[in-house]
Amino acid sequence: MSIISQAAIVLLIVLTIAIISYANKGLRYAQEEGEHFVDEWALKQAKIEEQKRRIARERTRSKEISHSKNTKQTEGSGNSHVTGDAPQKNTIHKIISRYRLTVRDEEKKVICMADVDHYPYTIGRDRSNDLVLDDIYVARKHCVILEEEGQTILRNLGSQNAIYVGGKQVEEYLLQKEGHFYIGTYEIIVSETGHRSQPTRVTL
Amino acid sequence: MSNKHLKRGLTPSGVPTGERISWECQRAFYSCLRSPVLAVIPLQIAGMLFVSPKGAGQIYLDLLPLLVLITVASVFFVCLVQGNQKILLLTMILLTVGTMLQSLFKAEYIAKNPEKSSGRSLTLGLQLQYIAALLLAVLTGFLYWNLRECSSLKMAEFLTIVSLFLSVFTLIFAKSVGNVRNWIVIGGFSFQTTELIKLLYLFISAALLGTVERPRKGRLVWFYLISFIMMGFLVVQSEFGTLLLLLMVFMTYLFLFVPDLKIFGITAISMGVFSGFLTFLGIRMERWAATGSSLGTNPLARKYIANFQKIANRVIYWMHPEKDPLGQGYQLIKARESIVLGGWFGTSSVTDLPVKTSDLVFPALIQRCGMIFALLVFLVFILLWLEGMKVCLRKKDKYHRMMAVGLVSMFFNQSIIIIAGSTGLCPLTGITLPFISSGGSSLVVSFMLMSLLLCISGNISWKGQSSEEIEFFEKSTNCAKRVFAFGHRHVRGLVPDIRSGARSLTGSGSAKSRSKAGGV
Repeated sequence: MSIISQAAIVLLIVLTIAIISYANKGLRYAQEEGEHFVDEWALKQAKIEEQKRRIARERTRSKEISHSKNTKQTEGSGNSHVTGDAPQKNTIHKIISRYRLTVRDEEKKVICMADVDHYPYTIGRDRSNDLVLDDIYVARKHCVILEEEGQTILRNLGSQNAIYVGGKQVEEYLLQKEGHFYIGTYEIIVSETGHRSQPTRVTL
Repeated sequence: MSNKHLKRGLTPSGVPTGERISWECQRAFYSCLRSPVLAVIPLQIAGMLFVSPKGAGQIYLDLLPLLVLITVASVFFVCLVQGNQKILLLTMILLTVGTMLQSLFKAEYIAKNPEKSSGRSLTLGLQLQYIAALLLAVLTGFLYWNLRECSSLKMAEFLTIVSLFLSVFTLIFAKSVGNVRNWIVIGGFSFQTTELIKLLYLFISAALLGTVERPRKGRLVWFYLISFIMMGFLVVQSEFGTLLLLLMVFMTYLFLFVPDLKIFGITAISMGVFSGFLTFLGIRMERWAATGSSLGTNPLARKYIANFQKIANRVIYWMHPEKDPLGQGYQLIKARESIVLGGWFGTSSVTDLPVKTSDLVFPALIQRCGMIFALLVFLVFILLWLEGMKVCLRKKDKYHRMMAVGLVSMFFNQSIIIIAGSTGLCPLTGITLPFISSGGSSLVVSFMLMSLLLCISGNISWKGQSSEEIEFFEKSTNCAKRVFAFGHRHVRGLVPDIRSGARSLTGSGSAKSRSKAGGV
């Protein structure tokens, strides 16, 4: 009698372990199913919000454009940098070379893409930067992209975790047609999207 | 107007329409059929093999259909609210182990006192407990989903009054079991009110602190006041196990949900000083009583000395149970004996272990099933704690977070305290091991606790969703049907990859956490 119950205990132990491990596998899918369901809701809500935001942005942009038209005509200076998205007439206009930064994380997943549409273009952990990289190895104001003498330069802003190119620590990096560098754990790939600098074109 | 609402899947009052409910039920049905939690049923049947050679086969057979029914019903409900099925699975394993043990104890009891065994009436009590626990658990979950007001301050007021009333009622009318007065007997059914009070405490404190981002001074003062009043009532009832539990949850809440760490530090230090003072006072009073001065012999002092000696004896005989082997140290010595007897794989020899159905259930488990199985049960408790904490991390709402943390820590602390106490790692206190100890009120409250946790982990909200979306529910039902027919891997291609889209919209951070939660 006791042998049967002893064997049954062993059976129970094996069964419990089997059930827990089996369920851990099977429930991964079940949980994904549940999250799927939620994500669908979240996606719908996010889409609605995105649309609202886009409409609001367009409104403000059209206001800005009309505003800047008035101001820049009066100023008429060549220093003004202009985004490439909305080329404006009747201003002194310089099409600058534009680079696109593709940020990838450790697992080579693309996190985001950003266009360098004005200079100085700052990168760092702080919210006030143009490109925000949320990582402990990134300084609050890590580096900046500048235009100097017709060349586009990435410069370290005194952070200890500097910029890494090809395994070496550098203070400055010249942006070219193609290339990549590392900030913290992020890999940033540089590619060219816009045009090279062209002679200043004045349309009046 | 009504037409528009019907399109949205909601009636004007915000209740889901019949069509939506039918779709949801279908979806739950199909995903329930494939649910891995149903794998517990073979375990429950295999329990029969373990139990029947020891002569408890008939009793376990009476309870087995109920166990299976509870499993299937709870899987259905969890699928309906898209809850965390791992929590359910672990709970069901615990319940199965508990049922096995309780039927063994019943059989031993009948073998000892054959004149008291009057056929089915013994198992009838257990069956009634299980049914009542299931019904109350479903009711609790339903109320939690539908009563939005449970987080309001008015509700907190109401619950405070209820719990104070219960405490006072217990003090006046309670029947004492083993010098602890906390049993209320109403028409043949006895109920332990402290079990309910500790659940109410969670609701009250979550409503006070969880509904605002930074709780102000007034709320904090109320929180302190209510906590200490409740603990005071527990002290008067000399129920120190539950007091310890409430104290732990109180400190957890202070640490996690009050932004000022200073408050936590001051409270902890002052509590330490206060308990030191109480110990000093106890020793002093014993001396006064020995000299016969009126300071040590008035009734208040006598009560104080009795309680103090109770706690002091617990500590003393925890360190040296062999000092009084037939009195205060008897339980602990017997517990050690049964642990040694049990060995790795358990034994069939029966010793005379006191309170084996409630307090010393863990040594009894080791004796019957062996150390390895007992360790597995302990592992199940730890896994439950982990899953509960995951629920808390996934929730964005502070109220739900607070409820989840409270429920999980209460459950886990309780099991840790009693397991450590009964195996001799810390002083023994008289609380029950949830789901495994006998006792109707403990079982009912554990069921309610778990149903609340599962409801909190649920991903669906029945109210307040305003989208077009009968089609949505239809689609998800069809998806569940396809999963049922073909399995997950084959359906993946058919479902549009919404998660990646959601990821790109919500940002990388949440995607990371989500993938972690999914275990990908």
